Amino acid sequence: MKFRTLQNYTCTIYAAKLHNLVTFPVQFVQIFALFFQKFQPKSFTFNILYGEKLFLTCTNRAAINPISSDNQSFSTCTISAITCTTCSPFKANITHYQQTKNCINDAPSQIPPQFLIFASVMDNQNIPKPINFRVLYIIVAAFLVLQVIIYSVITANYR
Amino acid sequence: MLHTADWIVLISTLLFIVIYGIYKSRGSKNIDSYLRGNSLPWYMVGLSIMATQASAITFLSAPGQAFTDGMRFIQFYFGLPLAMIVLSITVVPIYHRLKVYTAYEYLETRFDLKTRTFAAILFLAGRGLAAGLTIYGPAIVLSSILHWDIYLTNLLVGLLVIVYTVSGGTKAVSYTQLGQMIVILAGMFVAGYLIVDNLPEGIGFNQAITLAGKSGKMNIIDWKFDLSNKYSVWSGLIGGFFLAMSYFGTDQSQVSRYLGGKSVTQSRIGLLMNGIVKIPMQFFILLIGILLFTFFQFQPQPLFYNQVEISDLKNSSKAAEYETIEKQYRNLEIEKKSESIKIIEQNADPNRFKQLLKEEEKFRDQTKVLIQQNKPNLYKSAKEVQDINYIFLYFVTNYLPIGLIGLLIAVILSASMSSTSSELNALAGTTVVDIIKRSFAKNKSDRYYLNASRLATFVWGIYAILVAMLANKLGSLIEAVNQLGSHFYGTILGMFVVAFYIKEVKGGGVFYAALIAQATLFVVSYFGLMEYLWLNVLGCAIVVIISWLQYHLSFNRVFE
Repeated sequence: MKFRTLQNYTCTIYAAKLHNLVTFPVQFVQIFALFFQKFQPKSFTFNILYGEKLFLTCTNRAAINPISSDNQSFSTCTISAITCTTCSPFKANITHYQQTKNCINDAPSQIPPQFLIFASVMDNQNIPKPINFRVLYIIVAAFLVLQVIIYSVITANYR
Repeated sequence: MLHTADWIVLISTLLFIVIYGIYKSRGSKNIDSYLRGNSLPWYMVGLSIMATQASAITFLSAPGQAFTDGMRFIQFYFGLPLAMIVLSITVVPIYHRLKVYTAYEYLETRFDLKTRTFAAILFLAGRGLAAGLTIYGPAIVLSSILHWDIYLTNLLVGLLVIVYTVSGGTKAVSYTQLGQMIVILAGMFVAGYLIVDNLPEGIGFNQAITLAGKSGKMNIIDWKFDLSNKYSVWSGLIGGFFLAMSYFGTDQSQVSRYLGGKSVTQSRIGLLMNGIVKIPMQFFILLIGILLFTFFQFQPQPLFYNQVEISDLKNSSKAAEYETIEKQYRNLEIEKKSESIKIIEQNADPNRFKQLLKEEEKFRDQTKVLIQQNKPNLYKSAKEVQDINYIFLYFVTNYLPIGLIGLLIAVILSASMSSTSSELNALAGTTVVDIIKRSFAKNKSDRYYLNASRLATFVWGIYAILVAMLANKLGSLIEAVNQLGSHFYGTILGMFVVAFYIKEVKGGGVFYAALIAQATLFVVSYFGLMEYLWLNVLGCAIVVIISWLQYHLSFNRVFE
């Protein structure tokens, strides 16, 4: 396991070679725990990659968002194994995972050699202010109306 | 013919584009990694969307469109900003979340294989025809500067594009696409400036627009609702909205543009930028055509802008008849010029001028008849003889300063080549990925699919050349491309609307609804029951309504 600080508020954790899938969720929780100890983030997003595919995302704002994977059953099993609906890594439901692990064992050839966990951490003060798209939409629509008005005036004047 | 300096600029610019492109694309394993790097900021997303849509056809054909039909074509774009808003709100987050690779792949996940295949076939049908028209664009340029027959240059450009695509040239030139667009736009600005600058003394921009307005060319806005009216505010807002929704929301060439954004936010802003910039940009390009109209009231104007046809006519048995028409026409030009000055300087009644324009049109029609009679095997009727796409090019080659002509032609040629090449790539890709690999030849080696892609590129290239051979009978290319798209886009959009918003509808229902919609569109178009922009609305509505009824009236068993 390796920690690398990319910026003040961003770090990448490589959880390499998690071969032992039975303990996978446990390791997962350990990674989160270490991460929290080290960085104590006020907000976070975890993007867990399976090979090159984003396979689940976990943030402190939304529930786990399953992304379709090459192996749907594997993805489903794993997601149900973690079940961090509040996205606190400490609430990972290990029991549930154990109940569904056969599903993973059924497909050993598709077990990934490693997971890459990319965690973006932002201090609350540094979170960029979200763009108010409603205002942008109004601007685009208003500009269209303005153009129609201008073109109407031109049409009338140059008849 | 081009000046030597223009040839030097043309060849060195083309060489620079290719060499720079190869240099920039080194180390990149494939174009997808460049295009779909998910790293573009919003302004690059916006520019990329605009560059993809604005092919050389836009620059060659739009001024001619305004020259002959006035400014009303601008209304076609009114639905686009609204479509950008709706796509930003709904489709962009969905595509980002699903990480789609091809839009049709999503249809199989949501519905079934036959729906995916049908959507892919509709895309291939529409795009295959459009590829023919984009081959025709650079063929016109070559035909004009080399004075070769358009059929020969179609063949030459088509074969060049096939070789170029198969050898992977698209990748290199894609890197310079944005630069090319900037050069073309700058060239258009210079052209606009030179048109006004070359007007007679005392006639400026405002006077040029006044004369065009009195001739009925400043017909920008038409509020009348009429299904048989090609361009009105309503056909633009409603039909144009559906066309833009379909093109930007379901056409892979555009979907991949905004999926390349760093985030949903960046993709959304990029789309909205297109919604802001597109109409003013098109307005400016059309305005060039209006300025050209006034310019040619004071400059000797050809009876037919395709000079290859005129020189063929002069060397034929029809030469004497043509010379008689031209002589009469030159007399008319003198009177037309004097009436133009009266309108501008004394605000005279434009009726006489309008009458002269009608007479001028008669001379043009007579010339078209002669051209048709001279080449009866090529043109079945005089209506097929068209020169609208040659108008701006005629100005470029005859009135722009030496050097700039070569530069503009070089970028128009390379932009055309790269967009045609991208289209052939997309056609071959969809044929292999969505049809052959999915349904006919599963689990074959990579080499097999690579060879299949090359063969598909070749076959689509030949098909495009055949379409290009018919393109000179279609009139305005910018109109023809959108007309062709409108025959398929409504149905495709309908399938995606059902996929996104009517969750209960399953594959069988939407597939049959799409079949019915497509058949209806062909019938409506064949009998000319409505203008083409409305076909987008109709196709989408039929798919959505039948799919919805199928579910709610429990026809599932019948369909599935």
